[in-house]
Amino acid sequence: VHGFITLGEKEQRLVASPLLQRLRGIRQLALASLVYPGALHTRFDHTLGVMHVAGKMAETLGLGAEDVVTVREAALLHDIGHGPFSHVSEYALERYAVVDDASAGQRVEKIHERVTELLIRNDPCIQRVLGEETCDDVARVLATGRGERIVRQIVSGPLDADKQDYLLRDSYFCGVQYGIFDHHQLHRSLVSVPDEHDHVLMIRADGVHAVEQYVLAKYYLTTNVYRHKVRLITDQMIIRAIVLGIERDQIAEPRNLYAFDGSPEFAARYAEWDDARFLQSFGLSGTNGKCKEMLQRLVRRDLLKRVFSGKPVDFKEQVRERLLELVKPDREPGVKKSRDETRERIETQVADLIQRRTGNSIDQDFVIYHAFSVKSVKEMSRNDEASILVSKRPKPIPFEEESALFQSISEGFDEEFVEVYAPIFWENHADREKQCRQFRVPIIEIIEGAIAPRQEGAQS
Amino acid sequence: MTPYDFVQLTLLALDGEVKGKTKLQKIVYFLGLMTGHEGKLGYRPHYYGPYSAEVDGAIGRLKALGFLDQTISGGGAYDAQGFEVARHDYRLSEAGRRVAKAKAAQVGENWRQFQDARERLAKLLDLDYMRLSIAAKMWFMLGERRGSASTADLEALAPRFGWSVSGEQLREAAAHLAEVRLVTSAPDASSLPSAE
Repeated sequence: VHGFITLGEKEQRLVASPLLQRLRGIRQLALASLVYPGALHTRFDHTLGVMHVAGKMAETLGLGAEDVVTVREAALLHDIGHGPFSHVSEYALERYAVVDDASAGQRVEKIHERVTELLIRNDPCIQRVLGEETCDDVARVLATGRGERIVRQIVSGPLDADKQDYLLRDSYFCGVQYGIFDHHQLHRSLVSVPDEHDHVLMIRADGVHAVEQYVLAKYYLTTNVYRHKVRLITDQMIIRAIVLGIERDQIAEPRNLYAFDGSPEFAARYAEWDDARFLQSFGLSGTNGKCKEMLQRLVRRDLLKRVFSGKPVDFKEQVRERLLELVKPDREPGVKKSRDETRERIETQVADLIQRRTGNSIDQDFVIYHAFSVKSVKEMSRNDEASILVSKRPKPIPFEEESALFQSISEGFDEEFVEVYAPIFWENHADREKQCRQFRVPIIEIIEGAIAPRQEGAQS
Repeated sequence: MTPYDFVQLTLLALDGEVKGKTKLQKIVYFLGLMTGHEGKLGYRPHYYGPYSAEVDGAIGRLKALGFLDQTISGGGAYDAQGFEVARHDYRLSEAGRRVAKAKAAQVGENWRQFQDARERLAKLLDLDYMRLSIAAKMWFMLGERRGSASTADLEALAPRFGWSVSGEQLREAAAHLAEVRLVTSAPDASSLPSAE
């Protein structure tokens, strides 16, 4: 993706640490290889790429040698908190963490960010290579909201090295052209602009077209790869396998893996897991049960099928706001219980429906209700961070206002989707269409029925 | 109350309709101030005055859920590059109106605050988006000056946020804000009073 990547002496020692080497066993896109066979690249490859890009950005921006080193080290460590199957583990961590959020300070950080920090501060090998003080610096840079602004923006911001690398890398390994953008031109146009207190990462006006390409690349890759139907299904199957393993089969190991408590013991345990060990332990040689059954389906590529796909406007107005809410992990027991019950009600009734219509026995635990959103292309230029700024006189201008192309793209068209996956079989495309058509209205009614009572009660 | 709920109730308080995206941003800003919710709405200085990406996101979500209809019309004005400046008009859909009313009933006392604030803001609501923006900028800068500053002070402060406002514009904005009792003016025309 980037040609040769060179490492300094300290960086070589970091890369050789077990924690970094573990990333060789964690696929960048989980089981996306079931739809894009080439997508076998790992968090390790990506990590090296991010370090390289981050270093280039820092040099282009004229950062001092010490800051360049910090940026590269932070980039090397930015993904060490990833568990088996990358982002899938984030859901499990959010669901099973045993932490008191009040003690975490004002900002409620995502658990996987806290895992990263915990690993950096507790791994003896990393501590040996970097020393305690540098570990603190790097952890600060990675924890959003702290550290020098421009250094942070290279590691985590709307134009960060992470996104630049994953767009190019995921495109390359998936064999698609969606994520390609002119990163050389983009880098050429980066500027560090001083403001009252700090330096801010911006682009020069001649880089606007490269940023347009970059933002569109992110949009296309999101809609075509990250939100690909099969990828969504496989991610949901892994998540469901974890939940079933912990809550139905009562297996201690997955719970221990995801029960983040901020302790060094958790860090040591967590650092031992990767995709292969997870599949082997719970899918192949693990305890017989639902978790194993679900994982074995994945191994055989016997995937659940999407029996329903809709948008909020397909549902009656009283339930639309709650469709997405039902799948958000929440550690507050009352909220979690209520959401789980509603979702389970939907899944049980859909299982009954399919069973009645097809005559085949359907396990309700293998029916999955899922909802997700896709941000508008204009919003993608910002992500959760601030706008990309174009350096102009007398004042910087947000990229989406400077770009004629983006001004003309009607903004704000966020989309939300509701889907249901089930263990169903269809002969061919026509059979699929037919079955989905007959399930559509009853599934909408099931979802509305499961969500609506609370809403109506609240209104009265 | 989340920015999403706040925007939904703001639209309901405005009889379901606002003409112009900037105008909606600024009205939410002022209503946030008057109801004590401004801290949760995520406003930051922006070219057209205080702006919140969260409020923008809430507008997007309301559209995605089918609760808000948006129409884009050419305003007949053109920017420096010759592109027509479009105006985004928003209107709560019938479904959106019903859901917002149900939410208003749920939040009770908060909704009464909205209505009071809306009534108090009535005169500001008639302003075009540029005047409303200048008023919002002025309020924002007064906050930076801990509630009290002269016109000259604010004129000098504006470039720090990337803004350019004249003394005359500020005096006009002060008069508008005074009408809705957000500021009080000192007798000297060149000085601006404290925020109420």
